[in-house]
Amino acid sequence: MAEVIALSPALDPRDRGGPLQPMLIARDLRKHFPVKGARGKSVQAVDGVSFTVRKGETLGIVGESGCGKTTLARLLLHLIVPDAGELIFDGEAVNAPDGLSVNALRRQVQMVFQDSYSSLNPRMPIRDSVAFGPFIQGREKPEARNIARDILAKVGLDPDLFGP
Amino acid sequence: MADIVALDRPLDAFAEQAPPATRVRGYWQSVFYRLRHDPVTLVFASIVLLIVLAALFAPLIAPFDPYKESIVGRLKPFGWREHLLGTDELGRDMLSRLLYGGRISLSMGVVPVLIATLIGGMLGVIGGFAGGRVNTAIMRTMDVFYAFPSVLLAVAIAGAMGGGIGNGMLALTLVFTPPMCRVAETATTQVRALDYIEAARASGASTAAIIRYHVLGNVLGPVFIYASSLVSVAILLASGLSFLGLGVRPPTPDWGLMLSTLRQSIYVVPAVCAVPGVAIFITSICFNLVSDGLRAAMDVRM
Amino acid sequence: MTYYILRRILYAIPIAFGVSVVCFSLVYIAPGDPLQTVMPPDATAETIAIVKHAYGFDRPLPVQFVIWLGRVLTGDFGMSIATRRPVFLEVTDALANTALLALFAAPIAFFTGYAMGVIAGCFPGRWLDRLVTGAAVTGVSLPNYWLGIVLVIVFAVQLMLLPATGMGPNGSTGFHIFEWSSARFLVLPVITLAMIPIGILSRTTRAAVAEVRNQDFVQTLRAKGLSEWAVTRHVLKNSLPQVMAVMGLQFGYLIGGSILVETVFTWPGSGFLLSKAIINRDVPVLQGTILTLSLVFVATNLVVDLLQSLVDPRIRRG
Repeated sequence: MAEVIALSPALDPRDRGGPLQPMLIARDLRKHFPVKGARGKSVQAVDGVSFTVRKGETLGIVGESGCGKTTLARLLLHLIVPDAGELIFDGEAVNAPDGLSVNALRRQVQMVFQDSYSSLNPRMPIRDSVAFGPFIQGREKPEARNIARDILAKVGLDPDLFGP
Repeated sequence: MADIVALDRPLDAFAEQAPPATRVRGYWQSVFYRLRHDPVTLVFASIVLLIVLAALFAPLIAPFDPYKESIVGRLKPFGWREHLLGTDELGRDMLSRLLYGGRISLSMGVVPVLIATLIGGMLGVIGGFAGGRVNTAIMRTMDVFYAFPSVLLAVAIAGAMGGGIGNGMLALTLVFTPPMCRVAETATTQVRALDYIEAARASGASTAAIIRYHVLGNVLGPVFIYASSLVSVAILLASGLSFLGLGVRPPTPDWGLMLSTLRQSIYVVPAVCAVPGVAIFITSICFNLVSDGLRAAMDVRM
Repeated sequence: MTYYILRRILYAIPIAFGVSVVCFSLVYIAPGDPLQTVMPPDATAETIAIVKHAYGFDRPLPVQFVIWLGRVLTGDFGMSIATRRPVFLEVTDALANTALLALFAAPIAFFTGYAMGVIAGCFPGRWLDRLVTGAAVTGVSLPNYWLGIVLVIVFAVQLMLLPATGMGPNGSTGFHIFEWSSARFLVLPVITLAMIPIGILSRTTRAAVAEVRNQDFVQTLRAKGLSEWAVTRHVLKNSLPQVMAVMGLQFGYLIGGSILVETVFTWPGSGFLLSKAIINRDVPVLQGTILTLSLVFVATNLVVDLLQSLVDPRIRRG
């Protein structure tokens, strides 16, 4: 059995479900894209995908290009709305009436993109790109910038080099 | 096994990072930096500034009244009785008429480009970002106007409406809006496909926020460059309309109109008759070269 | 391939339709009563009433458009207010003269512009490139009607070598191309008309050639041992589609945008017809000329796109 390395709840206040609650449960996710022109036919990008990821685990999904990996990733972030199925994040159902709102999900889940050249806005200093997340979630600009500086410092990048 | 808790202690890699060779600058700061070190563009930009100032302060600088006619002093050559650039077919001072005419010619060139940039740019961003049917509808409508050669369209609209400076500006605005829209749409469509837009959406940004913080900044560059290159074309087109009689009415001075009325007199004082064209040429080429310089400064390739 | 051709032609139809809508509405943006704008000032009340009914001025706008479209498709562009001749005849006569100018100006402009652009593109950054680029910028920033005036001043007034205006000693009726007495009237207008296309073409060609030269496959060719001349041939072949597109557009401009040059030289072409129509407030002629010229432009672009797809296989695949 794989060893599960988890933060104990006392150390991480963000952990609301507890160490035994799976981080993410996907149940029967489905997303079909209608083919332009051919009525009735559709591309079944994601068709009944279910998995469970526990805290401290890493799940790798491998497949040939065009098999639906990116679509699945987008579904997990609710960048596209699934046709069917549900997503449960840390015990709360996403986009359900009394569950987790999509916006709250966005505060805790993010995507790292394949193409590093198009991942960052070339007209924005990197510090501002990093600060964009907290800023758009409601923080004031100076506060968001400070959070960005902290994060940059934490990963070993000198904040003064990445923003005027 | 990696100790996850260790992330709370910042990695001390600062010491290994050398200070950067150049100062960290924002994008617009680097544009200004490049411009400041581009002597050719600076020279032509100052000429443009001089022309604009001369036109603006025409009432203060002009040696004579541009409307004052003189029967005996008609079509005099350069330097006759303090008329540095001679007189026209009604005896009016050419230099003064050139200065006053600059106001009309410049505004007929710049104003339509400004309005076309605003309207066309807005439509292009909307179409490019919305995609699909909305985009197709907007671009097909623009394509219809694209199907006319610009001179023809300008003449058609201004001609049908009866000429005059207002109609002329309206015609020119209609001529420049479609290309502006197309530039904005292309830029927006390209930007929209990039990952950082999706990342912004994944952070929870609304469409308006994405456009404001991510799209506009990246689209503004190409749009601005294109608009600056349109100004020289606009000045040529506007004076062309005036040449055909579709701009201001006489006796208001305007470079194109002056060329038209002086045409009959080329057998008498050819040099004087060519002067308004020189003004148009110099203004247009200077705007052109400044626009090229702007493009060089703003077009950064990674 | 035929699919592409069909699609392209199909695409041109709504554009032509849109163009006709714009031309139709020209009468309506003119100040005053649309009916009055198409009638000579001395028309009797009877004539006005007949025309009003026949052209449907008393019907709603969409109906008027359909009636107008029907007339136009059968060649009835109305009557010129100034000359009382059918507009269709006036326009076709004038268009022939403009086509003559374009037929001479196009090859000169294309060849000169292309040659200049190739030279500049093959020696980027050197003095030849600067010279060509400078000439191109000048060509594009010069008001072409002013160049016409200056050429007239130099060659007609001062040197008295070439005629200042007109299309020949008898106008267009006695024009014989192969006789110098007529052909000399062509020289100045053609040079003036060719100036802007030369400027635009040299810039476009230079950019295309320089871009293609920077591509990796050119290095591969050199590495294979091809002579510089052979490499240049490949570069030219690859940059041709882009240049051809612009050439086609410029040809359209030569036909549709010749009004300023024709006015300076009083060359009796469609552009001059247009400028006379503006002065005389001859709206039927205005409308008919613009409609014809813009449809010619649309057709030219269509032909150019189709030709381009023949030369550049990438376009065919969509």
